Amino acid sequence: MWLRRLVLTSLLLFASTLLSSCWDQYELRDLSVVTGLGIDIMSDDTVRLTLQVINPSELAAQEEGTGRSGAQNYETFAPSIQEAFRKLTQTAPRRGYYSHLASVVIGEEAAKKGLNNYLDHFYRDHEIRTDFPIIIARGYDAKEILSITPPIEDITSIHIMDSIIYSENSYSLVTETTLDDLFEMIVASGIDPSLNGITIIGDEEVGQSLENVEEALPKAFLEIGNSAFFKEDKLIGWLSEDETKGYQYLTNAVQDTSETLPCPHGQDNYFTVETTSIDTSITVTSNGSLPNVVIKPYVQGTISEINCDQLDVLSPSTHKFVIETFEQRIEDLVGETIAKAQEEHSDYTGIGREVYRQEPHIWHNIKNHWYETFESLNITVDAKVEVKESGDVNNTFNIEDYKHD
Amino acid sequence: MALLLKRRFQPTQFKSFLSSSMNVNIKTILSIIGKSDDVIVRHFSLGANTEVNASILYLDGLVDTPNINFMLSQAMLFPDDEQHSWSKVTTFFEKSGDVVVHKTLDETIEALLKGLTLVFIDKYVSVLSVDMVQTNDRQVDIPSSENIIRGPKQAFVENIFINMSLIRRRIKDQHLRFEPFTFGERTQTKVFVTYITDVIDPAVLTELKTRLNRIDTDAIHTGADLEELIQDAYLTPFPTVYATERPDVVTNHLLDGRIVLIVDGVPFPLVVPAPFVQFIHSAEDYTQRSDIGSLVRLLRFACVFIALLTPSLYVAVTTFHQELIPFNLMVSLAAQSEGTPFPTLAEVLIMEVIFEIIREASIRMPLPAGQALSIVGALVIGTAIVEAGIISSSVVIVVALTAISSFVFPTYAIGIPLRICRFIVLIFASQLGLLGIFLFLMLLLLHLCNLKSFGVPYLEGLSPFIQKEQSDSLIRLPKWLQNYRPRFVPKNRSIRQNTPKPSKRL
Repeated sequence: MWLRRLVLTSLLLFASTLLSSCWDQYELRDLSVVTGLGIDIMSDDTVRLTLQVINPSELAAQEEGTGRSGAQNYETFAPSIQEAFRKLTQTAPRRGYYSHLASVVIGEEAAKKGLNNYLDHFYRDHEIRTDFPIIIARGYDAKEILSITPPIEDITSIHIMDSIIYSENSYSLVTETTLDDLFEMIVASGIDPSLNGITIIGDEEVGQSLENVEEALPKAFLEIGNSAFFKEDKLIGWLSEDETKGYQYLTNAVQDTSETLPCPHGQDNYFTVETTSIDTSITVTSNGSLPNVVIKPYVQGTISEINCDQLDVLSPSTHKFVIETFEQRIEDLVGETIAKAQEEHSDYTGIGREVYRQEPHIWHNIKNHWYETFESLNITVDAKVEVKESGDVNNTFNIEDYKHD
Repeated sequence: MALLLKRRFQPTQFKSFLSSSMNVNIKTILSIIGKSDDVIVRHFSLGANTEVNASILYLDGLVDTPNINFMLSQAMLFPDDEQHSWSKVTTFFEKSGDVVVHKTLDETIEALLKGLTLVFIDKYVSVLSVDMVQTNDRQVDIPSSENIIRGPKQAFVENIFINMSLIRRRIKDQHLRFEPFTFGERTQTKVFVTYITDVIDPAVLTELKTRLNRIDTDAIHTGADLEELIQDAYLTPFPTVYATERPDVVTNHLLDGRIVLIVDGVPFPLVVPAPFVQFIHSAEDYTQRSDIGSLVRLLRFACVFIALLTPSLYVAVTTFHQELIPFNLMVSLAAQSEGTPFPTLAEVLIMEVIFEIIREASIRMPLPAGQALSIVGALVIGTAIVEAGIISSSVVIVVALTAISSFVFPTYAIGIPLRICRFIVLIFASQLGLLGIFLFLMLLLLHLCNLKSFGVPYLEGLSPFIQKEQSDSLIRLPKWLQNYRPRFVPKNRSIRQNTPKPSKRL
């Protein structure tokens, strides 16, 4: 009896070892930790992967570096992503490890061919997490982006990830779009993806060497900004800065940004409002066979900078002026973004998805010719702004007030 | 085969009765116990004139010699005008100590070996034994292995009667019982089964006595001897009998309805039943306020897991689940492991074994050598092994953390199973990663759930979770909330107090 029980127990325990998925044992020092990945397409349709592999002993705080770069880029060419991954071992001495991917940069040309060609493996493979941000190289190859030596961080790919995370929290041009988000946008009906773009400002030749960081003013920077928009999975164009801002107000992906607005009385100067909360609702109502779309961005903010002479924050009329100017600004930005989407036949605004969610019957009828319907759709933008505070002071100091002393 | 299994000890039985001749009796006894310098025979006569010969026989060193001298000088004053009736003689010797009359030879020898003084009177067929025992015992001292900051500073000693008095001083209750047992054919070790009759569960006492009655051995000379003979399960590293050197802890347990076994010559009485949580509890928890007592106790429970799992978690995470490590930490760990020659498992095993060696050495070695050991252990091995690039410094940190956490427990006994299990789980972790660790923890949990200590589940109160037991389990509630005794005490005896919640009236 006890023998039978023992056999059963050990069989059960043994069976549980078969249930595990990824438990291959590798020592840390046997791994090439890949933090950055660049995907480019060559003229003969092969994929060029740029893999950024960290060099731990250069990066660790307490170790004395030998002056080598904190990360090295490896290039592999193959028709498919996984093959390119595996080919890494031809040039790098260790096993590639992809769970700590910090960012994936996709070259503009590759994005134009369609993202579906590259992303399947990332989603399918058990060794790769899907929470890294994806960014499109604007005007450059991904390889060139990943080759820039960034000023503070040692590793370009970590630099990109950190830039995305921090500017997402303080400026409305950037949102972190992970692989999961991207898949959702590609697959869901009535929405097309939009991804942040990254580009090089300055001398890219110098930017690729350590020389770039030896001076106070680096010769080349990476700049994350204007978003790329897609139709299904193919890149078709870039949003301007204003359109990107409008896109962020529309999708209410950011909360904290600042908006510079013109002074009253036509004065040639500016004041700034910092937003503390952006909450945009898209309401779709039925208007016969067509949807009627009302977009209501609701923004709260505080005045954070005044360079105007006659902006008296204590007077109700000024308060009204601030609010109206800001509302007008938001409506303009969002309107511009929607106009671009209608013009380009790419619904990165996600209005189609809202129609599908709120009026599925109408969506059912128009989904096959959505882009044509969308182009002529009547969309109302009605912003509502609340500005409650003006920072630590009321009015700005005025030089004129002190002149008579 | 049957012969081999037979008891190796055959007690000699002297059922023969004593002779009426004093000298013959003394000669017989001397021939039985053998000649040695501590066997003292002294002759005297009872009374001043009459020639009633008498002798005493005792073992030097076990008796109070000045008292004997005084008794012999008093023997001169024995009234000789009267007939020497047996009762008169007994009364006379009662003045010096408790007197027992022996009729057989083996009784007499047993009394002599216990340190009693034998009195032979010529022409009488009986022998008196007078209790003038004197032992050179250690004084009650401060506890050496269970120190606390606030609380009584007394510890048990080797003498069973002193230990008994330490308990009597704390519990003045007519229901307190010290039931004497004697174990070991050759050692004749005295054991007091101590309990409070109207608090304990009689079933536990019956069970304990059944187990005690099974004992058939030649010697009991440590608490562990007795523990191993009466514990529930032997195929487990976990202790199911609790040993403490603190009288206040023993008192607490007696009042909880537990039974205490005081073994003569051992300063660590045993407490049963002993569930798992009891080993994590410290006397300090009760002498400090309940809030800090609870927090510190929770910390100690956390240390159970730290002491058990840190090395294996380190191995599992760094060799199987690198994605779980935050990026910067991983970079630092990877940089440290660059150039070290051994796999992580080997590094951890080497350091763990080195630590076990240092620990063993520091217990065994003579005190003056301590300085040398700490230099060799801490400086040479700790620092140099990292600088030489043999072991990465994070492994040293992991082993050090484990070591410190394993010294947190108030009872030394509970650290031992954790030490053993730490190595087993390390092997599991190195083969299967986190899965292996959880596999091991499941096995461990099954094992612990299966254990019992004198009928009480080892994980009493925790598995299955019982609300009522929580007043003094993982945390310690204030005294006024601890109204009930542990659950193994019968329901009609479970109320401990009815003090209401403190309230102010001033």
